[in-house]
Amino acid sequence: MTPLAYSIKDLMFSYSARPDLFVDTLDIPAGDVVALVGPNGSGKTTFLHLLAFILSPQQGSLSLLGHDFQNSEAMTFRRRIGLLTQNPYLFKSSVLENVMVGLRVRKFPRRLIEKIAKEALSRVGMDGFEDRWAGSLSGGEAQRVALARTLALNPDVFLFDEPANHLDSESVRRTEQLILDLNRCEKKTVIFATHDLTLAEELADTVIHIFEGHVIPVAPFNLFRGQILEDGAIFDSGAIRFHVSNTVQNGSSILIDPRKISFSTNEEFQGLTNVFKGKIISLSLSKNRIKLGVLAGESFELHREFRQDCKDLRIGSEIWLHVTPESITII
Amino acid sequence: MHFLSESIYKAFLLVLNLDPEVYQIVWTSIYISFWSTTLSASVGIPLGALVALKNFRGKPALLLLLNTSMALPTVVIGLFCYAILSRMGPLGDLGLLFTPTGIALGLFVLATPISANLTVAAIQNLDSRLTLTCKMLGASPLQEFWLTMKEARFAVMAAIVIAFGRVVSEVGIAMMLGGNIRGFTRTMTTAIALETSKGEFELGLALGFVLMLVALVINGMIFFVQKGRL
Repeated sequence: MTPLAYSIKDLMFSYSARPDLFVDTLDIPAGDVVALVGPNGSGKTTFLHLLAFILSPQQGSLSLLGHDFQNSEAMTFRRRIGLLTQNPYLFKSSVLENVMVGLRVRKFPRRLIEKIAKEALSRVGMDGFEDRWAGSLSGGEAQRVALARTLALNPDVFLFDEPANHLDSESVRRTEQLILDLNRCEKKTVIFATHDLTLAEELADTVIHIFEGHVIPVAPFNLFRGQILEDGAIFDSGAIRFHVSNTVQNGSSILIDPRKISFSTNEEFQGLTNVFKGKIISLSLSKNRIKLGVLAGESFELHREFRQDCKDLRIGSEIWLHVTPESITII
Repeated sequence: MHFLSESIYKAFLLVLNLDPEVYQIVWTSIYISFWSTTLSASVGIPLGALVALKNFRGKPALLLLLNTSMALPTVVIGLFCYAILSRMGPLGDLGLLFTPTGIALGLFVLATPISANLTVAAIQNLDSRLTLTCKMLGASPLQEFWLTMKEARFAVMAAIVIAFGRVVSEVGIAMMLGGNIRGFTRTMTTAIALETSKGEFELGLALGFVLMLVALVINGMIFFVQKGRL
């Protein structure tokens, strides 16, 4: 049986009276790459901070590599984790000092500290920057120094919060490769938060979708709020009506997986339900995947592999969307 | 106009000729200011750090007290210290009144709220991500405190320099607790006040030049400290 990096049961955390994060049951096997996907404000960072033992659960249990977390041992647990935050802080000192500080805190052998720090900087392509004042670095360089600081700690589990933030495309590619290397070569557990479903699916063994502080079974895209009408057969968002599978009687929101929305530039969906005519408002291509933003009563996001028929797509051109009732999740 | 230019000329001569009386007074001032600043920094900085980093009962009251202390007139501090150090006061037996140590104690009372308040401000103005960074590196509370103080070092150094600048230019406390005794407790500021009242402008101006030079050096230090690269 694969050992578990984390085992979570009934985990709850809140900043106020309302729970901000609740995870029913979740096991994360050691040595996996796991992506936490969700929109901004969905609870990804809070979840990562709980996994890094920066925050303490207010209810439920959380264990790391078979050891149950106790608040009194928070520092010991934290020292087994390497967390890279979205907008990392660098100390007012040189780049090398910034990488060495964590090693000193975790009491690495003194004679090895400088060597480890220099190796970590080299690994993120920052060799030659050792004596630079951290405050003089660009956003991307600072992110890479913070990444080196995390790598140097050689923890059991790496947690990355939006690791591609502030990085140019070359650095994003390098970071992705690093995540894969940490996992494949060093057998580390890597958990990263992102709002990029494509990136998550490319890198992760498991994708966990988070929405409004809850783990949900589908990607948290195309969220529409409204109400269910006619005995559960129709969901009215106010702007448009969706036919839904009438298995759920209540719910105030729906989610539609962006990969399950079909589209056409002609009227081939005639006669089907949930067909919406709209206009393309955004279009981007990344690694053979196309992302479309479509305004069709509501604002939709679509993800799809690039195909020949995508060549005709233009911003502003007309498009027909088809959403099957089965691809709609009521929450 | 002739009188002023002549006085300035004579004052420069006193400074440049290394007049023993001028340098005795300058040395007394710097010596007293150094010790009062050192003492105030060793109390004020930990006190400021405690107030900035810890939550405890009475914290708002302590902050209010520290802020109010910044606005206390120096003659009032001098008056209180005089009452404590005078022969009938609780520390009268120590014989500190009209001694450099007595002045240093009074200036310590003046400078401690400055060190403490500026340390509070220095720590409170640190980046809010610092605490998170310390925690995620696995720092113990003591390591976290040390890293925080290290990050605030430039602003804390500026606080020390500002406190020094305040005590070296102070006159009321030095006059009341030192008595302006020639060759013993006479400081630059008390000497300027005395020599001016006697009509001895040359010596007063000479000391004024030195005091301005000290102020210039202090402001230069603050400038470099705040640039963060001293």
